[in-house]
Amino acid sequence: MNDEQAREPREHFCWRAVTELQPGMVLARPARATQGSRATLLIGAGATLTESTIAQLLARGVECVAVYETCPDAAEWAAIDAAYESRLQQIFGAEAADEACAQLLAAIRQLGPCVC
Amino acid sequence: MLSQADLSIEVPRLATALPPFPRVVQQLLELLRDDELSIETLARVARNDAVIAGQILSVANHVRRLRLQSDLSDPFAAAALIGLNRVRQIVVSAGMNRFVQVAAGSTPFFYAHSLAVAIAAQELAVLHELPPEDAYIAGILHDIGQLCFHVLAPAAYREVADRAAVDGRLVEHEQAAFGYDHCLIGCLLAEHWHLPDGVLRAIATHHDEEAPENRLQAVVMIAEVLTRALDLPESPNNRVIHVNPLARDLLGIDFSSPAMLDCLGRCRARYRLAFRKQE
Repeated sequence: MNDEQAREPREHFCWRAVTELQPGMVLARPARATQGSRATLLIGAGATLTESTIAQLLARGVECVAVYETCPDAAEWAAIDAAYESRLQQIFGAEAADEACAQLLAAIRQLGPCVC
Repeated sequence: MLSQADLSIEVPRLATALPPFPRVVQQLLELLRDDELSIETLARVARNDAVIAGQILSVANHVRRLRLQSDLSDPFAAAALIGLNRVRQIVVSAGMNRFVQVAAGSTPFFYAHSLAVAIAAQELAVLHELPPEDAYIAGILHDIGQLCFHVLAPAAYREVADRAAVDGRLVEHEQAAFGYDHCLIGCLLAEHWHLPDGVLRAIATHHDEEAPENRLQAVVMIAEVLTRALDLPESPNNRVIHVNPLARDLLGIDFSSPAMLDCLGRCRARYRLAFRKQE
């Protein structure tokens, strides 16, 4: 990756409260509302939000959804990642205590830091 | 110091040291239990609480403004617009958040931790098709017994808390010092407030190492671990040294599944939003 590519912002997604959504935002993850086992609303990833879909999300009790946003450049991202990994080591220890902890640590690592 | 036998008798007096339990939440739970819940009955209950009615209007008017419509001022119309599920969520979260925040007084970390576990428990409950209200209430009240120790024996409990901050073994230190722990007191308080049996058991067992008896108990156990793993709230004492595998397996959780990763993302976002609202 050259310097210019490194400075280009990458796309990533943030979880946003439904009250923060604006028409034109694009869903990064499916948004669903359920009542018990019944799905009452399902909007697929990649859908562009409109006033109508935001109103539906609000009305069906969806608290937050994942939308694509621009993330920091590669250099800033590397620093954020390093700090995140360091914090995870403090929380979980140098090695996860058992198999279940190791699974959870892997998931938190995959989730990644919050830069929203 | 009270014996365990005397504790049950003293719980009503201990409850007076806390704020009154939110009547509007009790009414909602009664309506749910009696299967008499409708948007009209719930709106009638909610309108008597100014904060809750205000939140219902706020959400409804957000929807109205998206549609370039004028604001509503009638809580019934607002409730009808946003629907029963949304109103239920607002009643439980607004009612319980305010109760615990006032109860926590000068210990904001207690409120922040309780709120984080409530959010995680509710998200896990929705994922596993369990009653979200029960999960939220059990989550936000899971440590309420600790506040009673501050009333019963403040100096002794500060020593217990200091020892637990070093080794993470709060329940053991409470048992050694007093003969019982915050899980038992919390369960007795929840019983005093006539909360559902499932909520009582979830509060009573949230530190247990044995297999949980039901999935709501498992939800609260896992929710507490998730909040520490996510560092919510941020604390140098957040450590993950054990995850009850029996609770995990009862819920059939795969932490790395897309659904669980989404759940973790939502927990983090909802927690941030909850505190940003208070700024």
